[in-house]
Amino acid sequence: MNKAIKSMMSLMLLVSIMMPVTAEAERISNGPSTVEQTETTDENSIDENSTHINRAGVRRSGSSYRSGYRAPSGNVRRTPTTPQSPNTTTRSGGGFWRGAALFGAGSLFGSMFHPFGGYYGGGYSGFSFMGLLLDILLIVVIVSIIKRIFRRRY
Amino acid sequence: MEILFNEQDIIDSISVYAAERDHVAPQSVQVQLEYNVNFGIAAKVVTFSGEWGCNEQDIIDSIATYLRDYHQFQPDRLMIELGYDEDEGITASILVN
Repeated sequence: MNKAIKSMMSLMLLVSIMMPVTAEAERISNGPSTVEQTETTDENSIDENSTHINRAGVRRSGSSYRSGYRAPSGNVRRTPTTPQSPNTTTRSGGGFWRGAALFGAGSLFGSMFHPFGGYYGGGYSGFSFMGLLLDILLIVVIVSIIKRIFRRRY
Repeated sequence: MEILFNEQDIIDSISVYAAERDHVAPQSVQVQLEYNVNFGIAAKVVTFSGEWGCNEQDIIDSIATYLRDYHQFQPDRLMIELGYDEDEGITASILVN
């Protein structure tokens, strides 16, 4: 019995001595592969995230690139220039002819319908005081008629 | 404040810049953006007047011009960074001071 206890004790001691060795051996056997993986990931991360600064502020890392913040050059003036429209020339030409046509129509209709200017009866023959009096009289009559119309309405 | 420009915004800016330079309509300008590992970001501009190239500073100037003319920004308050990414393409980040 005593011999059996002694053998059991020695067995347990042996097991307790052997266990750490086995664990260490396992760790070592897995070790290189783990180290390799780490190295590989390190290499990859170096490749992907390596940053090269070529010029002032230029960052180039793998597949991306940043130029760095820069101010516009002095050629860009502060005051805005009016943005050119595609049909500027055509529009200005069209604007001219439109204006000319409107001016002509206005002068035509004005000469046709205006009540003043001394064309009473005959052609225009210089300045006449009577013509001016007639114009003033005509204006007074027209204004009074308009006033009367508005008085009737309101 | 930060403004982000995508490729189309940058192309619009260069078109406006080229149109002002060559006295043509922005719609008639053709722009090709390029990224070169050695030279960075560049653009090729084709107008009725001919073909010319834009370097990074020209592109930055064009963005400033575009923001000045169309969005009433002051160019001297802008800091512009051009960037290239495989997913997003060529972009620009504009800091307004």
